[in-house]
Amino acid sequence: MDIKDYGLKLVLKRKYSKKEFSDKLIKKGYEEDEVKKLVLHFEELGYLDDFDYAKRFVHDSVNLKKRGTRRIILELKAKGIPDEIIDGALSGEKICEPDTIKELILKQNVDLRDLKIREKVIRKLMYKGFRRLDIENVIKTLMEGGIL
Amino acid sequence: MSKIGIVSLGCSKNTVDAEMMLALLKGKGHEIVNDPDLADIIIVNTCGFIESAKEESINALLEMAEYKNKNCKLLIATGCLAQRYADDILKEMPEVDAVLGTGSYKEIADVINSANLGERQKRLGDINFKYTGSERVLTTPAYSAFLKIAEGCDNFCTYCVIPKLRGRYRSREIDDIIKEARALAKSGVKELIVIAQDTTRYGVDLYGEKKLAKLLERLSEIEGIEWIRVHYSYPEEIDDNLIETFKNNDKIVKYMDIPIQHCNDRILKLMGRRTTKESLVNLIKKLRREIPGIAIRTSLIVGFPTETEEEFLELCEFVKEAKFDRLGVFTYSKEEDTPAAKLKGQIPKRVKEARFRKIMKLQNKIHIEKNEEFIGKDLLVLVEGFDGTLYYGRSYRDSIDIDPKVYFGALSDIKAGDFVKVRINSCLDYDLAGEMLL
Repeated sequence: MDIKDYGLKLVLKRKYSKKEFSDKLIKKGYEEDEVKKLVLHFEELGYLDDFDYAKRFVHDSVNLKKRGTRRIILELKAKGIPDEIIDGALSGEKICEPDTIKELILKQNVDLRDLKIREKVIRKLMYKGFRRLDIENVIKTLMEGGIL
Repeated sequence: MSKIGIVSLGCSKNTVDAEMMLALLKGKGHEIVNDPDLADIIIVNTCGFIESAKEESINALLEMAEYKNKNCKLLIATGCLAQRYADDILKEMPEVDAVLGTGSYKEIADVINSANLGERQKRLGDINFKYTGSERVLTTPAYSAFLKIAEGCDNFCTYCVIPKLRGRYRSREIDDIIKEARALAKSGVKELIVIAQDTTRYGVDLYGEKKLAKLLERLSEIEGIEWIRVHYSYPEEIDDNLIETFKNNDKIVKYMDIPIQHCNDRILKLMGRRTTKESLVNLIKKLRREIPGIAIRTSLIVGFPTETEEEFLELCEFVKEAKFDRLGVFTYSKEEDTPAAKLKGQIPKRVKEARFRKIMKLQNKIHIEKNEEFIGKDLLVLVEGFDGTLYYGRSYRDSIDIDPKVYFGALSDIKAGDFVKVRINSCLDYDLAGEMLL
């Protein structure tokens, strides 16, 4: 298939970062030079836009996947998004990690006075990309407030 | 065959496990790479014995998981966190393809084969397996290597989960250790760093008596080995025989790493330690008397449950008087499945942290005073490298990775792994500086 047609097929299906898009085409066997040219062309047309991609990614990660900033940053880096774009995308999103942590903890509906259970919940949230200190602070606040 | 990358976290004992896994994989024809970007398979050899270590391990897993969007086809978790929370990892991290506990790391090649076939693997073998050496791919500089003489721990300190992760104490046969040490020497290793959860207990399970002194003597007979450094010596097990061996054997570095954890008798008892303040004071005095110039490293825990301000101040006074050459301080970490976690009177985090800061500040002063004592003196230094301006290396007072360094100027050509004499002429914050003597 012509590289342009294949590229169009991809971007019509879903959003790609420039790096993801390039990697996919190179893996498919297209020459690096022609891939570079197509990336530039698609960028001019607005089919590829790392900032827009990062903004949407951050929005979905925070609001739908309920992920912590640490994990979001790692995922965006792996998709080849430059640091300054990640920073911009993050600052454009209203992120309140303590609220998300609180929501996730309350959803568990478990007795956090039990050390084993508490540690399990903390680990679960750390896997989602939240910092231990932030999780502990939320637990402390919830416990002191008599919510848990 | 695959390209394998490894991230090994935590202690030197874990590093040795990682090195053994790498050798096993290399033996199967896999290639070892340093850059995770290039790896088809990434192993995260985790640590999981305190809160901060667990967080670091989880972060490393998350970080490495992102490489699965690139070249990485398999992500494998091994080590203590994997042993402790295998199900958790598999549940919370779909990116992880296999989890190997501390009793199963030798199955790494087989696990990779199975995972390559698409089967998610969980291997938690017997943590009390017979511990023997095997080939290693060193991750330390070519001239220094860890030598793990035993696995597991029988001390059952009340704050520590290690026996549950690493099993009972099992010494390796002396001949097995000597064979490995000879091979290391032959490959260019000059410094052996003897490790175990507790080196001083070495031999008791296998020979019915302590054999560390005997082992050190045998190691010192190996041609090519210039320095033997011993870590993790429990104070109650340091006897006259061992002190004599340290004193009289020139190859044994006059450096003792003795984790004491606290000095207050009540706290020591609660910790399940088998020593008292009086015996600690006597031991330190004896070591300094018998082995002039000995560098003593220790580690302490602050904020252990029920530790009063008075008891903490007693610990501060102890540190002031003992003037340890090297000191590592941990804030108490409340670990599930340990007796100490169930104690009433847990200390608030802010108090633990304040105590940590206070004792570190105290030690900084002692450290600088100790450093100043070396101005004008000559130290034998194992060269580690050149930072663009000065050479640097370690003296007998400095173990690998955890201690400061000696920086020095040199007129002649020297290379990493050489031993040179350096006259100390100044102190940097933590390090020493001087000029190489011809």
